[in-house]
Amino acid sequence: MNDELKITSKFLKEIRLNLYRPHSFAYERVGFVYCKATKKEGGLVASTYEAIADQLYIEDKMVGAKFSGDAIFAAMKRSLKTKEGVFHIHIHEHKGEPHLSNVDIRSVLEISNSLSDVTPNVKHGCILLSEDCCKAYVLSGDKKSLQLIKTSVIKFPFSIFYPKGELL
Amino acid sequence: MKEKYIRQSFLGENSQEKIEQTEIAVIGFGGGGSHIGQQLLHIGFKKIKIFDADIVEDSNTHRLVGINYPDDVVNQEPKVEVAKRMAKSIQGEITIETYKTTWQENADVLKKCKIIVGCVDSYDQRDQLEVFCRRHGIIFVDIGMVVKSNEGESSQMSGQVILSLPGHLCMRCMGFITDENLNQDRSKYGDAGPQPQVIWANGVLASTAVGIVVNQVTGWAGNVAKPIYLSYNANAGELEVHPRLKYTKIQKCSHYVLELVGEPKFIDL
Repeated sequence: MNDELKITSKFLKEIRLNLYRPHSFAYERVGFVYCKATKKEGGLVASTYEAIADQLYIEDKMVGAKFSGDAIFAAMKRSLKTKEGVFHIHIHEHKGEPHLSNVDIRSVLEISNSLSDVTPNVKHGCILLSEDCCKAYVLSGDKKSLQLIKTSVIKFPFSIFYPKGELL
Repeated sequence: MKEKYIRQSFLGENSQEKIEQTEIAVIGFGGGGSHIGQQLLHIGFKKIKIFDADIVEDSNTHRLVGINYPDDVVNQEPKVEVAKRMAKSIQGEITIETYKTTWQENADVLKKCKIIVGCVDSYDQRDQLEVFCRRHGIIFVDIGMVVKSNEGESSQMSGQVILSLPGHLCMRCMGFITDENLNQDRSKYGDAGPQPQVIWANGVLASTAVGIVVNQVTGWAGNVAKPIYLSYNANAGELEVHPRLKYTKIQKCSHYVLELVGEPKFIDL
């Protein structure tokens, strides 16, 4: 797979600051990163971030954050208009390589499938952050799983997360 | 680490692996680009793409590293063939991709690169390369030199090395690319004859650029992410941070906003 997501460290820093804001009842914040395609074989550059509005969170003590379908609908509408890939983003608050939980996988699959229904020709998925790592996943071709892709953070020195799991 | 790279092992853990994995392109294989290509090959970069549409001419002899004189001139050898021969002699095999075209004709292959080093002659070309790099999230390193001659005075030779990092200040923010010099450039570049170049100034600028590239890949020097604009005064033999960057008040690039990344396309108004 040639998919690769690039994101500048400055942009990532802004997103992190936004995600670290406390919410009145949700344990964590989430958002959507909109990505533009840069090459036919799956290059993506992160372009815009939209936080989920406070009022769209739903109280649910079983998960870190739950939000209403309105947020997903807005993302679908935007993707339909701009043909951007949409990536759900959240942070696991620890150092080292983060991993998607079963709840993460289930919910990202649902969201990505919804997005893929409206813009099937662009990649959708999620970006998972830890305190010092950034990984991106895309919806697989059969739409049943999430595939880890090469993730490049443009910074000094630049860091690349390869799908095999090694961080270079 | 392989024995042959043991003396650069101070570059850090996995540094050689990072170097070998980094896709890098050199645009222009002339006085600057041939120096850069040679050094990248010695360092162990394996994924190098080299673009140059020109053939070797007599006037390249005084600065083209790797030239085989007079055969390359007589045979009108493409410059990229010199690059291939160089790769074989340094690496033992041809580990580079070469394109005897302008970069615009094969821009798709550049999109995978992490770093592009521009060794081009005009502001216009530099501007186009930076636009491309910003669109595709690629780090851009530019080198160039110019000689200015005023009657009755000694020629003034100067140059620049610039690191344009996506998300940070661009060459317009640094005052290097301006509408004025783009317009001037379209009439002529420098005023001491056709594209004056000398190997020693090319070498200083190229080596500095390679140092920036290696640092960007390995982080060995422990700096932080920031744009670089170095000014080279070849008459004095001095290389220093350009005052335009040193004293700039610009905090954030307004020329390349993230919303404009990706392939250019028509939008409905």
